[in-house]
Amino acid sequence: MIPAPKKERPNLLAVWGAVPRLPEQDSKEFLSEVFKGSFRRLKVAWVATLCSLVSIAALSALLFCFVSVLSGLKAASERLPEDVSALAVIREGEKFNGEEALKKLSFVRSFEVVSSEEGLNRFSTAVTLPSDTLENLKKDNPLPETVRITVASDTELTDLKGALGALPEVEEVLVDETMFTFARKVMRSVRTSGTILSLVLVFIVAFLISMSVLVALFLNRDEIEVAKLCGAADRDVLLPSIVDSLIVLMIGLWIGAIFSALFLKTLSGGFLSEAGISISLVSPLLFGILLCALVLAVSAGTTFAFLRSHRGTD
Amino acid sequence: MIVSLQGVEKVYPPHQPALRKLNLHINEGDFIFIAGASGAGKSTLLKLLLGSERASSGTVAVLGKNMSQASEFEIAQIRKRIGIVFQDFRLLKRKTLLENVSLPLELRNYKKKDIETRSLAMLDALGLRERAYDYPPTLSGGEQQRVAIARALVGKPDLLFADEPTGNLDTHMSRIVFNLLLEANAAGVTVVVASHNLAMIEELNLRTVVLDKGEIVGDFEQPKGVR
Repeated sequence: MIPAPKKERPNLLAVWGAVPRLPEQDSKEFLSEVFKGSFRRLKVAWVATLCSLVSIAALSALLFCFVSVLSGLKAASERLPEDVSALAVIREGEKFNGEEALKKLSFVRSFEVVSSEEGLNRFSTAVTLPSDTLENLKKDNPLPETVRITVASDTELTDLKGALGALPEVEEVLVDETMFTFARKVMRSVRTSGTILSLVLVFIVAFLISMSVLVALFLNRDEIEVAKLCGAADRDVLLPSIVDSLIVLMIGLWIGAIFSALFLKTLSGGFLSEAGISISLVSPLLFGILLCALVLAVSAGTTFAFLRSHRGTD
Repeated sequence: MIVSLQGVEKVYPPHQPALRKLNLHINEGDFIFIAGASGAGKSTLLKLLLGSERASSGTVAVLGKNMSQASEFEIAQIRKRIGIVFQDFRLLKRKTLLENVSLPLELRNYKKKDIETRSLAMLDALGLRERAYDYPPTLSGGEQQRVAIARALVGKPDLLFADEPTGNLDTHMSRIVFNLLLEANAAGVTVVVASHNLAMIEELNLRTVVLDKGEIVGDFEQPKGVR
């Protein structure tokens, strides 16, 4: 028979008989262990943790700034006067006959016919002319009759211009494209591009989280392989990786939120407030919650898909 | 029967057969060698038994479960009742011996204190109690294999698979390792050892199934003198 090892040790059989069947932990305790172990795991992989943290914080800060400015822009554009108007100048000595036609146009909100005399009166009131000068003006430079028409939005101005221009008594139509109209156009394009950029950023953050889970799985592949051979289910392998990534994500998001709030606070005291754009952190917070949900879904989905394609070990 | 294989075939793509029409039955408490040269199909057979690979055809039943049809979760549950020892030990280098041995118990969600007590008892039984807080690279090959055996046995498995457990060890260490496997068997564990160490197989004179090119060419109750 094979000789026993030289060193004295208790017989395996004796140890075997002495060990009782152990009580299993419930799921609650299992989860608690997963969370407790997270700090240790993140500490061990501190370089990867730090890199993830910095990139998530930077991206989320950028994202929050975008969202805040965009919501500020939206609010500012809503405060701008909505009505836009056109001015039809009537030929000298003629009268405007298109009142009935204007009433039929659905997009016309209101219109006002200003006679030559009334126009001059308003002008004189505005610039306070002496009465003799006013009389001279009436004789030498009579103002043409005008019609000021107000419509709901910029897009209808083109139609209105066409309709008025077709009237014989109308000499020209001046579209009153105010600074507000221009500002609204600029804001609209900024909002559109900002929204697209925000969505791109959301997906970048989601991608980073997914990658950090995958990298964690890759770095621990030996451990995972052994653990799976010892009976680890997907849950045992996945949960720690997801929990670690989510902890990094949450910390990163908070750091990003704090930095973006500080940055926006500085900005809001400067040119943003002068431009009438007020910053609110409520929208970013709501957006942050949505972002978390999306990131969680993407990272969990990717990880599950990854593990399903790597069933078992050899 | 703790393990039952019926008409098992395994073909690797595109058309490379690794096992052909295998029929094998292992009873509870058996100690069985799977012998054969390299490429005979020993490791493939163990992979099928562990659920790491699925059979191309036939039935592989382990601990009453058909491994070909078992889900991922069911395979994980079966593996919790199986201990496994590899030729290259597969210890986790960044974990202490105690942590390595504790791994199967952690996966069973046992209490931390219970895990430590049992793991230390197992290391003690294998003569490694005083090195519990050392790391695997500081150990000799024989010691590392003893840790691997401790890890395989700590969960009180019903079945123990060993794939060339003495492949990297000298004769003296091989004897120690086989002694431990015999002790585990005496304690009630069914042991299946894939090995090409014919000298040791003859010396132990226990049931031996010989594989060649994926086929069973011999099933000896006592192989001594067969050669």
